[in-house]
Amino acid sequence: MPEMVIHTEKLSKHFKGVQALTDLSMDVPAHSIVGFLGPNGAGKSTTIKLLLGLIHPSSGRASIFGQDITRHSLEIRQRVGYLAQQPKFDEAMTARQTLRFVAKFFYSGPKQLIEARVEESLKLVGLDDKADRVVRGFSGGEMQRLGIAQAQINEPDLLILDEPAAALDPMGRRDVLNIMERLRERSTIFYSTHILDDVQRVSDRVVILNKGSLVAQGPIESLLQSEEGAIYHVALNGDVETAQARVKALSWVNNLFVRNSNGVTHWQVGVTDTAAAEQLLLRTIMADDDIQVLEYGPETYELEDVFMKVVQ
Amino acid sequence: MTVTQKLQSKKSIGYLSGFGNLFARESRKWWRSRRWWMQSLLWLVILNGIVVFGLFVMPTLVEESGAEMQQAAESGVQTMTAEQFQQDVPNLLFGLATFFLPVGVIILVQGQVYAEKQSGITAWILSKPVVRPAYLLAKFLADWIGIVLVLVILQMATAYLLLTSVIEVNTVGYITAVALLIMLLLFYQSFTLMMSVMGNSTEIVLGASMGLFLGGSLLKNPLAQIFGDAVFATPWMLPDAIALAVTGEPLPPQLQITVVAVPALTVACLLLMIWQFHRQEL
Repeated sequence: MPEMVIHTEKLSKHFKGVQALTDLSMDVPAHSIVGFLGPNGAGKSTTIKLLLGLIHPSSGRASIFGQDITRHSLEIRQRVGYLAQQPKFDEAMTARQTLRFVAKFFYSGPKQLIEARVEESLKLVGLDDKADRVVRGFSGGEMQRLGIAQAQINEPDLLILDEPAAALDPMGRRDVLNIMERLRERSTIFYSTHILDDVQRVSDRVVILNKGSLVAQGPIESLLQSEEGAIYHVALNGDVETAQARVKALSWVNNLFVRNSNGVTHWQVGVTDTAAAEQLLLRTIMADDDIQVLEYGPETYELEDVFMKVVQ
Repeated sequence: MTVTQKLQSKKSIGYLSGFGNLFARESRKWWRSRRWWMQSLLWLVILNGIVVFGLFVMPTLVEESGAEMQQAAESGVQTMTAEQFQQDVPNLLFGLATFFLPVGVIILVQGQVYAEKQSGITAWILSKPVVRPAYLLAKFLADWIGIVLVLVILQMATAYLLLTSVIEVNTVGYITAVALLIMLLLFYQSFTLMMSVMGNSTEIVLGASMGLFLGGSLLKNPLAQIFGDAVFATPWMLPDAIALAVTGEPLPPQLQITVVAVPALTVACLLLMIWQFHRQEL
């Protein structure tokens, strides 16, 4: 069993008359990148604020690095980096001063090494040429980059990012994803987002919330598989009638849809027993020498399909 | 070996974790911006302007209108000589200071917490290894130092030099009055900061703080008739104590209650502010 960096048990939060989060039980394993998904108002930011001790749980419990979030919040925050949804900094400070300010919460010295760390962070997010500009004049994208720089300045064991790519153009988004991939070597990354393509690209796992409740969590590959057993896609050439009858007769095949396209026959075979299908389906089809199998494999879904299905 | 491996990590465990860094940030707002010299200039003009006027301009005007003053005195109108005007300047100075400086302090402090809470800066700072009291106390202490040095010490030291160049001043009484003035400002600073923690708009914070100050100042006499000596346990009576102290006269027992009650109220505001901030959700 992998070490869990974040673990919550029936974590709930209600604000005056509004149930923002209900019985959230989730796990985030060490050194993983976990996408935290859900429509607006699903409870993502509430969960993140609970984990950081910015708001207090109504019931349930949660731990980070095995330490309780309410009793050991200070120790936890020593090892966490956080980027808010709309990062705001002291507008009178420059980017360099902002990072220096944050670094001094974590490091006592020596001064030149703190400065070197600040410089390194500015370069990481491509703000080294704007280091001495006051934050007041920064664009949304620059603010986001500064937010990422300050979140990782203490080389945290856990990075919590609330919509890190939200205000960025495609180039900026790509850069952020690259930074996240680089940071995964030393950190666990838990981030909320609406950009499902990004999640599919960099995440190992996803946690999906809807209306304050958990609706799905797990490794991304398993979520992308069909939930009602597996569906296999087979593309065939030749006389398929006999093979079709043989496959339909199998006890664990519950449906078979046929489609012809450009002289190729496509089957979608729904199965109830994946293990049996893996062992016998291809063998059953191939038993007929007149058939050529052009493509074969379990049907895969896009994350967007899964997301839409679970939140609707 | 990377840079971070050599960096010395802070052990941020304790009741004031993050205080030093936050205090430096708050102090920068005073001393590395225009604030210190703008405030210095503003209060020099208001407070020491009146001292210069009372000491040097007013006596000249009185002397120039000597004949008219003589006539007025003869017809029974109460008049003051140039010397009497000059002798009254310390009272005038502290009278103005006890009215305008609390207003200045309230305006300076009012946005300190709620504005940062609304913008998300407070949540950002408290996501770092910072304890909540440290966030508030850093603001309180940095402002207190700025207020005492710029609004009080600089102004009152300048005024003292001006006054002693012309008239005799009871130095002990003057220092006591300055100390009581600091006590008065400290109370309004604490109260306004507390309101800035509890409130969520300029109207609420400014309204409550100004309301307490102006309402109390205007209504203290009617309130004294209703509540008797209980009014002496409020900051509204402190200007009376200051006016008495500057003359060098001892404070009557009722005003001694004020001198004890105001620091106690200040501490109560600070404790209430910290307790309230602990419960707040950001």
